[in-house]
Amino acid sequence: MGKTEVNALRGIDLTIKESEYISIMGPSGSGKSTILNVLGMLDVPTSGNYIFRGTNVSELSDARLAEARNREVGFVFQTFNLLPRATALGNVELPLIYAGVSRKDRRNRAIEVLEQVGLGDRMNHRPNELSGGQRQRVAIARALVTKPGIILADEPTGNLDSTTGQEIMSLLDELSDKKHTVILVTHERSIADHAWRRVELLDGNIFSDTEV
Amino acid sequence: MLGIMVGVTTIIVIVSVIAGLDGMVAKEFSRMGTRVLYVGRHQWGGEFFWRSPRIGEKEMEALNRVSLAEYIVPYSENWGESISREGNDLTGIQIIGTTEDYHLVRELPIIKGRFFSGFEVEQGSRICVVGWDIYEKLFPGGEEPINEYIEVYGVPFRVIGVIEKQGNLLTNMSGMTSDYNIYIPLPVSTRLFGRWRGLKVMVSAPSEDLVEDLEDECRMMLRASRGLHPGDPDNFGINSQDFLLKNFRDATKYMWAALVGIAGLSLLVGGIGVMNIMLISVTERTREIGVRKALGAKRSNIMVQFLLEALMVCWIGGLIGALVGFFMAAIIAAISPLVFVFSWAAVFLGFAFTSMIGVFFGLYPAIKAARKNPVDALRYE
Repeated sequence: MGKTEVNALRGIDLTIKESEYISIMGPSGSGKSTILNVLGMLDVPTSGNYIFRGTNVSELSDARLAEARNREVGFVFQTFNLLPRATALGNVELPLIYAGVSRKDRRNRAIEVLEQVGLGDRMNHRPNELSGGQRQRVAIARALVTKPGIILADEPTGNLDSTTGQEIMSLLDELSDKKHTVILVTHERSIADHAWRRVELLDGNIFSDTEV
Repeated sequence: MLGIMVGVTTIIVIVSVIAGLDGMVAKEFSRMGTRVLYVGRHQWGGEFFWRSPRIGEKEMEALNRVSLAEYIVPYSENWGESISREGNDLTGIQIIGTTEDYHLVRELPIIKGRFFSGFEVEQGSRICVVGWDIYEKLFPGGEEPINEYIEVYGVPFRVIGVIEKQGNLLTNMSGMTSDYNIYIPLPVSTRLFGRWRGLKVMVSAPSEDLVEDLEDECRMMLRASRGLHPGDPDNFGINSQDFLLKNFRDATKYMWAALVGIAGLSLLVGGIGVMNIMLISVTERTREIGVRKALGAKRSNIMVQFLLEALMVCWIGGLIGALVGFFMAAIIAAISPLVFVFSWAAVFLGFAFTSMIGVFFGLYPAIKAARKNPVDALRYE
C-alpha cells in the first residue's frame, strides 16, 4: 500500500439506536469496509468521533479499544474466520479468554450460546468437521458470547448456498427479535431486505437512509 | 529446531564427558598421594633436551639425610620386558626394582602374601611381588602363587606376594601402577639391568602441609651433593602430583572453552532457525492474528502468544537434545573407562540457555505479530 492518503469516508453522520436492525449497502469503493471497521472498533477515524453507548471510542488507546471491541462487538465474517485447530467450543470461548473470564465460567457460557444456535451436539467438532452453515453458526455463537452491544455481520451468507444462507439469516432475524442490535454489511439486496433500515453508501457518503 | 537440539545435545555430552574425565582423573590423582614427591632427572613439563646426570648412589646418600621425609623409596623402571613360567611367556612387562617401602608409598594393597622386607632387599634375595594380571596369566585357574617361581632372564624368582587388581586406564597409561608390573629388590635389578639408566626416588612427607618444606630440603641436599652454585639451575627434577593435577585442570579449561564455543555456535544457529520458523509462522497466520485482534486480543496478548510458542519450540528441541545427549553420554561411559556423571548443572544450563534463546530470537517475530493491523490482517489471503 502506498503512502497516499485515501479518504474512504467523507463525512458520515450516522446514528444507530439500540436494538435496531440496520443494513449498510454500497458498491466497492463506497466506504463500506471502512465504516464496518470503524463501527467494529477495528480502526479509528482520522477525524470525527465514534460515540458508543456514551463513550467516545475514537479517543481510546489501542489496548482500551481492544477491550471495548472484545466486550461490545460481535463479528460475523463472510469467511467465518474460525481457528482451524480449535474445536467449536474452543473457538467460541476465545473472546472470553481475552476478557479474562475464568475457565469454568467460560465453558458454561460457551456451551450456552452454542446450544442457543443449535449446535449443542457439535461442540467438540473442529471446523473442518462442520458444514458451512454450521461453521457460520459457530461464528455467530462466538459473536454472542460476550453479550455484545452490536452484532456486526459482513456478508454473512457470502460463502453459503441459498438454503443455508436463509437459515443463517433466520438466525440473525431471531437475534434482532431478541433485541440485539444487528448491523448487516452487504451488497445483496435480498439480504439487506431482512433489516428494517437501509443505509446506502456511495463514494464515501451516505446516499440514502430509509426505513424499510 | 534441529540447531537447538544439536546445541543442547553437545552441551550435555561434552559436560558429562569432561565431568566424568575430571572425576576419574581426580580420583586417580588422589590415589597417587598428595604427600609424595617424585625425584628424577627431569622436571615434568620442563625441558628434556639437555642431558642431566642420572640419580645414583651419591644422590641417594644425600636424600637419605633428609630429615622431613617419612619414606625414601628409590626405584628403577624397566619396560617392555618378558618373564615366563613353565613355558608361558608374558611380554610387555615392567620390571621395577625397588625397596621395602614401595608399596606403602604407592598405596598398593597386597592381596596375597607380602612385600619384601628390608633384610631381603639388603641381601638381594631373588624374590618378587607381582601385579594382578601377571598372577592371573601365569597362575591360571586360581593356582597358589606364593613360593612358586617365575623366570626373569632365565633367573628364577620366588613369588612372595600379589598386588590387588588396580585396573585403571589412567594409571595404566602413566605406568605408575599396573597390573603388569613385577617388583624385585633393587640390588637384584641393578645386577640384571645395570646402572646406566639411573634411579627415580619417591620421597613422602608425613603430612600434606610439610610437602613444600620437604621439597625445599630435598632440593637443598641434592644441589649440595652435586656441587651446584647458587644461580645454577637444578639439573634434576622434584615433581609433585600437584603439578599433574594443575596441568590436567588447565587442559580441561581448554576443553570447556571449546564446549562453550561449539555449543554456543550451534545454539546461535538454532536460535536463528527458531526466529525464521516463527517469522514464517507469523506471516502464515496473519489472518488468524487479525481475527484474534477483532475478538479483542491486545498487542500484549498476541506478543505473549507467539513468544510462548517460540519458547515451546526451544524447550522441545532442548528436551530432545538433552535426552539424546544423556543417552550418548551413557553409551560413552559404558564403552570407555569414563564414569557416567549425571550433571544437574548441565541440565539447568541447557534449560536456561534454551529459554534465553527462545525469548531472544522469538521476540522479534512476536513483536511483528503484535503490531499487525487487524484491518489489513483480516484481508490477508
